[in-house]
Amino acid sequence: MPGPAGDEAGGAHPLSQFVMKVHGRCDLKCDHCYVYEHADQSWMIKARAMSKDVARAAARRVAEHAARWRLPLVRVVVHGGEPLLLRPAGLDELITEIRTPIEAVTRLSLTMQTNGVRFSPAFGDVLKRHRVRVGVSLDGDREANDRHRRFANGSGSFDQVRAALALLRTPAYRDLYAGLLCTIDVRNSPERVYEALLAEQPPAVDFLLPHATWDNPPLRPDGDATPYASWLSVIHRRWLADGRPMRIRLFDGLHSTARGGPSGSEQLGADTVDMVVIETGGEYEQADSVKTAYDGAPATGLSVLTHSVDEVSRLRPIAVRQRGVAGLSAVCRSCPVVQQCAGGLYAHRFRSGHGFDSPSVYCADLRVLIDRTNEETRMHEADAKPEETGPADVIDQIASGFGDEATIGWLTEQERSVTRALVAATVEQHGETTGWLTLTALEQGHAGAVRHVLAHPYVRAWAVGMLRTGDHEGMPYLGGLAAAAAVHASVPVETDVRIERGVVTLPTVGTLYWPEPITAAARIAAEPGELRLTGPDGVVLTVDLSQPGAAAHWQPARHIARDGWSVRIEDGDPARDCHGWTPAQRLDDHAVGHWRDSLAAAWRLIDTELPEYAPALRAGLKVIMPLEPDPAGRQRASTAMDAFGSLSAAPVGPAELAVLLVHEFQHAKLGALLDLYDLHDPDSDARITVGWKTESRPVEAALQGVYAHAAVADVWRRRAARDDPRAPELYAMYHRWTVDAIAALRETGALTPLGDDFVGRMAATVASWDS
Amino acid sequence: MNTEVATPDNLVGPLAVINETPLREIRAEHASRVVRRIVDKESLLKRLDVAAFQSAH
Repeated sequence: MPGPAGDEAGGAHPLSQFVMKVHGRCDLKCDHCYVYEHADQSWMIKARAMSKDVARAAARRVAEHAARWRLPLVRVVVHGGEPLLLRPAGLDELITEIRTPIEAVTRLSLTMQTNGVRFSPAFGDVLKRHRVRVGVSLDGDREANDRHRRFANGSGSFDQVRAALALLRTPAYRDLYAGLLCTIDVRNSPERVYEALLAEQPPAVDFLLPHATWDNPPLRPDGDATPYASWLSVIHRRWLADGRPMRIRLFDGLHSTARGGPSGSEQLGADTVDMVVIETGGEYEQADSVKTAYDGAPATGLSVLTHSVDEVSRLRPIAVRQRGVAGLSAVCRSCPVVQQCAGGLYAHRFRSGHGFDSPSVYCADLRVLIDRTNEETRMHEADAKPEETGPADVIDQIASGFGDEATIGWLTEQERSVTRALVAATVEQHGETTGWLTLTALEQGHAGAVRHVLAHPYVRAWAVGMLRTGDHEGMPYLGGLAAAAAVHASVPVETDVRIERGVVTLPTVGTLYWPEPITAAARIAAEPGELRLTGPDGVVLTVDLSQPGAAAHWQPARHIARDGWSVRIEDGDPARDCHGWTPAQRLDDHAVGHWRDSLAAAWRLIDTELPEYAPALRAGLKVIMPLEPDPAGRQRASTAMDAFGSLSAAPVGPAELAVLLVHEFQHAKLGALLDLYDLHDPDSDARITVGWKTESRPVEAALQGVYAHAAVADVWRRRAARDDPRAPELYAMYHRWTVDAIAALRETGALTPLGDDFVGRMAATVASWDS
Repeated sequence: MNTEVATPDNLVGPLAVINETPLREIRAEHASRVVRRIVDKESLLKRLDVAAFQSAH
């Protein structure tokens, strides 16, 4: 036996993860469960469920500890037994008790681990309100899962868990879905388990070795000395070959530790474990996994009702987990892969008479798995084609404030991939439509036409709307895309569309206007040289595409081009209404003429005054979406995060338009970069005081503002050199805003290393102007 | 910092695959990855808690 849990091992230290057992019973009777089926049987004498008083006391202890150690983040895992045995109202009350004191002193990350069988919209709504992310246990395909994960009557839980996962994938709850936890049984087919898990589209999967000790070794079928390594290697090879379609924490950890990084897990690697369990009655315990060692193994004898977290942190079994490799057995310390393995899971080291001072009972498997994983990864990387990771200097290019055509072209390609994926996802969510079938059939012989249409900036805005709202009414938009692609390909098609407030848009081709502003189902036939729209009451609108001009019911796409610049005026697509300002309705020729003149003059100004900004704008800006003018005459312009390549603006003169084009396209460039790279911690609650807004701004908004205002400062700096009388004052103002916000951004601590680098390069550019 | 930084090998690689794949054959898991990043941006790539998976049941 190890030393008594009450032993102290020195001073207190911070703990940041707390597993709260909110219910002590489970509605499944899995025969591999360590809570009920392994050595420790203390569940029988513990409270069935955590009371509000215990939850409040626990949260106060956690808050007090977080405040004392100034913890920037505390993680609480809502756990059981089965936490969903609390009804939704009960869970709501308990989580409220947990959140209140902790959130008063620090940030709180809440996760729940569940078997999922009771998950319902009512639970989903509670968890969504409290921003609790959900991990679900699933052991693979039906055969694998139901081998162990059964109800007391012997029936399997597979169907109920899959129903829960389907609900978690719906738009209402998708952001709750944290991942899957799969306990390995080497009798299951690793390929089938992998495929079943992948089919659930989890953000991440973790594989758990079944809990075992030297006293109770794991199942080892005859003929393979290291069956767990063999089983996991099959999945590792398949996962690499598939392009790592989901995160698998065990493999991510092995890849990371092979490069000297952290494992992100306590199963492998030398990460310190700063975690404690709080039981239903308030008892502090060690990690659940040690329940597998012996009866009473996790007990500490301390409780939230009587002891602080600091007192728990001093206990030897808790403190020893802080020592990493130094706390391992002599055998482990001399092992060549100790940095990647670090003795495996603490509980698996137990041996009567030696406590936890042994290598893992899985030692042989872990050694083979680590060596094999390292080798397979090396071979895969050597064989793989170089990944399209973009121009080596993409961050430098954008951070410089400009971006050459190659960089912007590459970002544009990534944005197109994003749009294609989102369109495919709308069909995955809402089902196939005639528009989709037409579009995909067209792509077989006319991929270029489909690609051209999908490059329309508002396709993504439409898809994001479909995925966020879950409303399938807008799906016939795909029919408009298909018809547009058919026109480009000169191929006859007929498909469903929707008249949306009197409009049917064929992006990049033109817009049909129904005589009344109705919303109704319709059908469109695209023949070479002709469009025929059949709407309610059999009314038909016909368009002769051989005639270039507009008609009352037809507006062909209008392009403005000059000196290598080219944009399309978008005044028809309903999906364009994503800029926060009211879009202008269909423009007449006079209004388009105004845009033509303003743009031509603005482009000339950019070419002469701001030539470094011109390549990115020429390569990336493809659509202008006119806005209704501001009644008070103020400038209006915006860039939509989900419409890369477009810019909206109210009519404005050439000099202002030149500044506005530069300013707004900065947002587009940085937005595209942020789609691909994390420059800041999205969890950060930091708010930044900035010069250009009265209210403080979140990190991403401040970063966007700095990037765009730095460019505007640059514009006025250049104009100052041309003796523009307004320029010195305006330059000073934008420069000050930029410099102050850069300093504030750096002080938040919310920038990732990549973000730090990006902001550093921006700062260097701005600093170079002073000299 | 608790963000797993998106790097080329965990996002841009799949995007390149998507761009080369016909719409109909885009794999749901690839699309799902993009959906999570773009549509559910606020929750994307939050690192799963160590403790969340330390205890199965």
